[in-house]
Amino acid sequence: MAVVVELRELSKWYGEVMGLNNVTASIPSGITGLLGQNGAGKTTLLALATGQLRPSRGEIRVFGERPWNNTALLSRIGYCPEGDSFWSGLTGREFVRMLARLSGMKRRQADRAAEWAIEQVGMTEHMGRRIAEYSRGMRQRTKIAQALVHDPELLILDEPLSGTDPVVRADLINLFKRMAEEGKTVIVSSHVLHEVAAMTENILLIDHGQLVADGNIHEVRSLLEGQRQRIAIGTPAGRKLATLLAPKEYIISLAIQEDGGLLLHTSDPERLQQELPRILLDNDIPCSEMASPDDNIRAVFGYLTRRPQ
Amino acid sequence: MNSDQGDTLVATSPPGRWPPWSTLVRFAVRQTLRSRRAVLVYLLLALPPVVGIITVHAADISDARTSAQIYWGLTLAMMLTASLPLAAMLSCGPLVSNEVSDGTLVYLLTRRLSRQSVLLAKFLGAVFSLVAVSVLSQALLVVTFAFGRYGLTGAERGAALVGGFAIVAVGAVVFAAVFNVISMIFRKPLAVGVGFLIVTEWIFLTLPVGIRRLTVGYHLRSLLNGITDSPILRSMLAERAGDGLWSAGASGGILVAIVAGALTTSAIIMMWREFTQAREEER
Repeated sequence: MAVVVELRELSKWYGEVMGLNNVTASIPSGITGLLGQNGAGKTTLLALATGQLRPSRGEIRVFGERPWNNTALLSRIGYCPEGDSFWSGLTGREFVRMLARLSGMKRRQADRAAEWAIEQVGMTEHMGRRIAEYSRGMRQRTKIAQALVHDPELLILDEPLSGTDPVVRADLINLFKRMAEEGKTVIVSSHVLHEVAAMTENILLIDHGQLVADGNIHEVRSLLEGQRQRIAIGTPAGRKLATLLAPKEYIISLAIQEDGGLLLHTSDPERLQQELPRILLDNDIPCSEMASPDDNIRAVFGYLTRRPQ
Repeated sequence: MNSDQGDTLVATSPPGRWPPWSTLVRFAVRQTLRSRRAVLVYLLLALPPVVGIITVHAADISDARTSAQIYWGLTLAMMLTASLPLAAMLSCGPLVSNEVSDGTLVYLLTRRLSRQSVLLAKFLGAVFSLVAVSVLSQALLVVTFAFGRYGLTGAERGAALVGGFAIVAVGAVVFAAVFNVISMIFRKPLAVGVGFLIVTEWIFLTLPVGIRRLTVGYHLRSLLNGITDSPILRSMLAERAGDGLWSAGASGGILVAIVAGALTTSAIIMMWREFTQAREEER
């Protein structure tokens, strides 16, 4: 596979704070997961790839070009930031359309592109509402739509699934997979292992600014075998959902939260992620969010870096 | 442009070549005119013509000279000293710095826009809005004093029109640049901005006649003195500043330098704030 992003001894320091330290890696086309705990250096790496930061040392090349001060290259890249920031007063449609215009599209072209991108993330019926009225998951989808709107060859997504419910999560994962099948390159950062595992086998694992592993996710997952994981599901019908999940062999324990939500332990989070959307849809159970309070990636780093986590 | 054909994504044409910064200028105009602070800005800029209308009806104006004196008095003491700088502080100051602190700058910098073009486009949009509203306010002031039994005479009317519009437009640009850089540097830009106004534009103006001052308001007065052919205005300025006024050329140059310096400083601070923000995220 062709190399799309190439890092050579790449470092970024913020004064005394190290963002990234001497990272050498290649990211091919298809989907690559960028795994690491909060503050590991993921966002720094993505900011370097999108030309927001200049390397302190080493080199980063995207499609063979340096991204810093290279605005022409940016029309080939779509970026979804982690931060939950929007301009106030805009509707979803206006937000995506304006960013299409800022990508160099004319008015009508931008209108069509915005409609298309919003449809891809399943937000068509909400695009006339103000973003301030959106749920976290809807805002997340709107951010992904603006990254797609100019049809980039490389999509860089910083924690794109955070705050989304299991049904939307499954839809977005399918969208990313479909884009990869169309020949685009997708880089997804996450601190949740099973999220990335549902999308790709190719990962880069970053810890304290350093690359600690790169390659196949199965090797990393094998380190986690036998470990149970906590999952929180935001729903007003936690009791009903608990009844449906209780017979599953991969569910270890279930607890109803004060807000009606469900907190469970599972031995197989990927299987839960695959089956949960169908269970929710078939039983008409609303769900606002699915999150992993346990940073299971910490355990992996414990193995890889021999550091107590 | 993309189209969706069943389950397949198809790129049918690449993004066009329309200059993206023009979109950003229009967006900045919209942000300035529709923000919550805009109402306050409109009220501040409505103050000089409202006071003018009240004065015309309440005061015993018996000749055109008195009309001209009140007109220039309101332009200098109210518009240039209070309404315009305060409006610039509220509307233009936070426009770029908010992009950095709110985290929305990333959307702009990952498009086909350089930092410089983001800064300039947002500044131009904000200034365009401020100039439009303040020139409209000045026009109402001119209309208030230009007509009626003891309205401005032909020559004074022309001077009031050209001089008033020009100085308000130039003042809007310079104050916008100054408050833009104050917003970029300080965490409490409103407090610092008001402090700056009180010290440099209000207290310094009370210095004795004949002393040259390096304030924006003082250079605006020097410029106005040089470009306006109004004996009444000149005698008013001479009375307040004596021979301390600068030449129009020197003041114009200094005002251009203030704008250029403020924008360059803003660009540097913008990069520094991005850097420190990224550092905080990685801590």
